[in-house]
Amino acid sequence: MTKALAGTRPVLQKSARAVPRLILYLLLFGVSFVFVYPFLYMVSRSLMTNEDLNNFMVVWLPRTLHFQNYATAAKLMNFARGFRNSLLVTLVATLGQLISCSMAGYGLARYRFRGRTLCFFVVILAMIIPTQTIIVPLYLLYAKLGWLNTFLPLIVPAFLGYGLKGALFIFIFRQFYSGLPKELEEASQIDGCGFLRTYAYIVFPVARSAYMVVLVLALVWHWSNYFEPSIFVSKADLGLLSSGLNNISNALTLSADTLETVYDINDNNALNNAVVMAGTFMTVSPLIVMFAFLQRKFIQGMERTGLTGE
Amino acid sequence: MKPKRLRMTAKRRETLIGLFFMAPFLVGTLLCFAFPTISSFLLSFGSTDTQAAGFHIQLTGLENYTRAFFSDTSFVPYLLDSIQDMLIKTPLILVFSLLIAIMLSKTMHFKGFFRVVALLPFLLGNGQVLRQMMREGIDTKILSLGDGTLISPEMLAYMGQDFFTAIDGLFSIIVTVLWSCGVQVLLFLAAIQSISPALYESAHIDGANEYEAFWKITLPMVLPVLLLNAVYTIINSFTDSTNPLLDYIKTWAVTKADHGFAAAMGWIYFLFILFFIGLVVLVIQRGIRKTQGVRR
Repeated sequence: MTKALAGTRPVLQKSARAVPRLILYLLLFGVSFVFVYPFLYMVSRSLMTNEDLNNFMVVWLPRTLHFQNYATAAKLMNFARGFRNSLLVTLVATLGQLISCSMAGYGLARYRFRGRTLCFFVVILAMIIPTQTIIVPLYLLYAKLGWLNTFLPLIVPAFLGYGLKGALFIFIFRQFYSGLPKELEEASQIDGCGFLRTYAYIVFPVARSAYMVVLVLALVWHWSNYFEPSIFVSKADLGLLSSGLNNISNALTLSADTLETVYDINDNNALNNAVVMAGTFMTVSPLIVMFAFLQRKFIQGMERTGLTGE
Repeated sequence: MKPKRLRMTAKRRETLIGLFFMAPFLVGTLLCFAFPTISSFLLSFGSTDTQAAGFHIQLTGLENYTRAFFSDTSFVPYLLDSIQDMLIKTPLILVFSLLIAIMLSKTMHFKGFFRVVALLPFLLGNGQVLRQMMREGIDTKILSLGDGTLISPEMLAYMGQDFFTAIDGLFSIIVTVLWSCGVQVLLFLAAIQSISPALYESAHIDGANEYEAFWKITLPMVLPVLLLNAVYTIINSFTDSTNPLLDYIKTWAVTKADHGFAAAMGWIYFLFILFFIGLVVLVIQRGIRKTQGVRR
């Protein structure tokens, strides 16, 4: 491995660099193969008919493109409803975390108040304690507040600096703000800006890259989150895409009669792993589209968050 | 600062503004953290009444804890499994993600392509999606000797079944590990790119080769991120959605409604996580302190 790392120093002769270069590319393509494979597998499988799945001659290319799988999957997942609900929860919760976590991170990084160390300790603790440990009292609390079977348990904590991995986001923002030079803010305050205006006009524009990173992380994690929704939200009308995906694999074990009455599917061969893969692809495709747009800024932001502990 | 207008000392003002920024977090701490954490802790020493209406804890002492360790037949095996899984995978994930990050930080062709591909596990590799892929057995399919494309069937027959299963098992672990590297690669990449190239140049002038530069510059410089990554990886490995122990706890909490027992198992689990994280933090912090003289 270490050999592959060699050869980037400009001082080396070109011929001496060729072999390590080659090893580097080989390794990278190897790793890329491992990363791309499941994706291609998913896409190719999702278009296969039942016969293709069972035919060992068909490895990658389906003999016919069986788009029917997508229709079946959409029906089983109730795609339109799940998409709407997931989009709502993901966008609102992400917005909430962007606001609350950046505020908390800024407060922790910039202001010396009593109890600051304690607050930071709580952030670390919240990062470490698994949700599963405290899920029962949370459930009882939300039951008492009458929030069960609404999206409130997924959204309100996000606005309060918690929610899905909220503590991690606070940590990221704190690291970023501690790395920013204080002079900019001091200058704006001397010029007569209050702390809110300083935050809005000076700090926010500079911190855009940190927001970018947290935005993408939060979008991806909220979109595929399954645990909390599966516990707090059990009403069918509020089903998210992630639980819809679960419906498909559960439907694989249902009898033909139930399938026909519940989902109006009367072809016995219609339901197979290809449908599961079609559903999986439909679930991740919005993320892939989103990522295609945000990718460049995200990676730039990642490089600038100051997570590096300089 | 305008102490005149607000008529308070600078220190008080700072506290107030600080608390203003912390306000949502503080409310959240009370509602979503302190209350559930403390009551879950109490709950682990007792049991709830069967009527879900109220939240009355009847204290039963350490009963739940002894039950988890001594009467319950599944908890301890699950716990040991998750610990073993974490112990095997965390070092591998850290090494692999550091190596991938180093490779990605080089100037080369297809840089954009490789970087996007390195992010695929992060997009696909969590929650329900990963679950479905694992159900398909994707981790054993990517690199497999079974279909005879890597090594011919005759060779396999010659080498015997044990060799075959060992290699396939190894491949499966490598694939799973590579697939858990998404966020870690990103963090390492960010860290490596913030290292000043001047350091490498001066080391090179002093006669250091790539290998030495890695141990003397890259590694010490990424240690703080290594710490973050190690902690993140341990937490992730313990709270992963595919973790069978968490499913088990959830079954007791939700389906069987034995909240006290579920809470006790959760706390035992948390203590183990805390122990391993504490250990990692201690070791890496020592490393950081040691190298500090070199770095600054």
